[in-house]
Amino acid sequence: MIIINGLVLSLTYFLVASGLTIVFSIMGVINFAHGAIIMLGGMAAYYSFTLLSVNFYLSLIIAMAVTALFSWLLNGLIFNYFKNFPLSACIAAVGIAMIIQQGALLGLGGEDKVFVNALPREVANVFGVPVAKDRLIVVLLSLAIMGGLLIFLNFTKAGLITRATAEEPVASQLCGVNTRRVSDLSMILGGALAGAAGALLGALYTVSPYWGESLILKAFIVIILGGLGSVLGAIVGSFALGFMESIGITLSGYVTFVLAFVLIVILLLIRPQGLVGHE
Amino acid sequence: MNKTQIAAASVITAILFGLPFGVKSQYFMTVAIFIFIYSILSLGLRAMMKVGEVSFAHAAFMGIGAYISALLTMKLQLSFWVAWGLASLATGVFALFLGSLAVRTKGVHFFIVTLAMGETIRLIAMNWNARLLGGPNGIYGIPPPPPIDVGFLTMRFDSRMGMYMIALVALLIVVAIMWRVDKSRIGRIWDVIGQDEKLAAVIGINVYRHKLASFILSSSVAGLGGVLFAHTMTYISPYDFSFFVAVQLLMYVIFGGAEMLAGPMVGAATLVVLAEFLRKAGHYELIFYGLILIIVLRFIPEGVVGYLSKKRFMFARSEER
Repeated sequence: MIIINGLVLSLTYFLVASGLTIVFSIMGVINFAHGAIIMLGGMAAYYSFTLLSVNFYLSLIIAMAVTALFSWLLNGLIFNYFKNFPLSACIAAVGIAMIIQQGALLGLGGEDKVFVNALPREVANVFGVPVAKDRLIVVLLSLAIMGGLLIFLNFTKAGLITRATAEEPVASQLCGVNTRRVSDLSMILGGALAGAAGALLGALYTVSPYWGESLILKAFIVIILGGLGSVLGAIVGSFALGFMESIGITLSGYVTFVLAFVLIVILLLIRPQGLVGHE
Repeated sequence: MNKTQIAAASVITAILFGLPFGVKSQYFMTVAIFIFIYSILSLGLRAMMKVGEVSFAHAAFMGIGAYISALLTMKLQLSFWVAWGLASLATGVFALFLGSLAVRTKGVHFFIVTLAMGETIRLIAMNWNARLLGGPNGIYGIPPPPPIDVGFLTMRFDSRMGMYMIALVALLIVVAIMWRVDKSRIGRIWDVIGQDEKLAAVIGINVYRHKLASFILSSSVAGLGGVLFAHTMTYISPYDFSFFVAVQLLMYVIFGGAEMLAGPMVGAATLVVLAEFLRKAGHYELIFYGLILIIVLRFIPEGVVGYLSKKRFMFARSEER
């Protein structure tokens, strides 16, 4: 039971943190609007599920498309201007987050959007362990996304270019990489991951305009734990936090948070670059 | 400071001291008190921005000051004046410990570390020892400052008027300290670190120590402002010191510009007043704040005050020719 819970939590954190970390690795920007974009993804999934009455998997794809498009626009309209000022870009992202959040509150209403019926809820048996089917589906889909992301980054040309740009932006530019397009790509990728996170987590819990804020704080912890800007780090960090929380859940919600924080502080002292990060 | 600036500053100070005798509105006084408090807090934040770092833990340090002072006056029955000093000092001590960790990081990393710090402090206030800290409900009934007897006259501070005077004097003191720091050797060193950290290290500046010093100064000023906040509101809860408050303070500094001392104060005054108008219009506050933040960063990154003084500077130069 602890393992299943830990797995669900870890993958939740991974979904939230992976987009954040990819955008950071390419653009050097902590996208504070990421949580708000996840919320938008959840909203998109909710509306395509209820209003368009398509099935959950299609609404997941719609949500990913919507947030990817949104992030791409965001990059072109705003982040592109702050290319050389990452600190300003981070603060601008806070502004974007506020606009999206309040816009969603005014436009879509503040009540919780519930579409838990999107996924079957009955209990399945996996190796003799009873697991709710919706959690199982979310776990499998997130694992698929995680695998897809790793394959994309490690075995495709676009992935190679992305990693190269993250590593050495100037050198890759000299090799003929169009960094503007890479930053577009990273924002689209981050947006799609945010959309997936929104749809999958929205189906497990509920979606409300303030949702993003609570998600993103934990994601920050995950990415510092794992090392900023590394996808592998995000995986390690989310599993560390996820399992720590599922074990510590008997304590209480905030104790694990404080524990995670203490862990970060110790980590900062001995390994400032994070668990698997490098300078 | 040249003669015109000194004259302008003293005229403004005199007007601010005279205002409450002319305008008797409680509402006006309350808004003015909050402008003073936010000016103090943003001036503190600016001290950190001088060395080129932006702290998101600022709201949490404000909270530490507020909680400590509230507890000292309510549980230990200490006088407000003593509690004020102690709380600011205690906030500085907290900052020494947390800062010695946070300052090891820089730039975006510093962002997230201070953010995590702030949030952790807030969560502790919310969950730890609810009998002492009141949990999510916070602390009620924080007493106003006690009257001062100077033989022939008694100064009372339990009204808006009294609080206005205290906040104004506190602001003046903070401005004086910050001005002194700006003009001192240390202030110049901080400017160097803010402009080029590597250069600073190369010419023999202990970057870590100076950053820590600026973090401590910045946070103790936040604590000082937090005490005022607590005793003005008479009620505090962890929600008063959330991430959003930290962003709000940052916004005041960015809007006014961090370059000059007047920047954060102008920023706080303008945005607090604008927010008051917007509050009547409906729930557009956040959208407005967000837009302002993006527009200012995009078009006038040196802030309104910085922009205006640059304009004047250029104007003066062209006249000289």
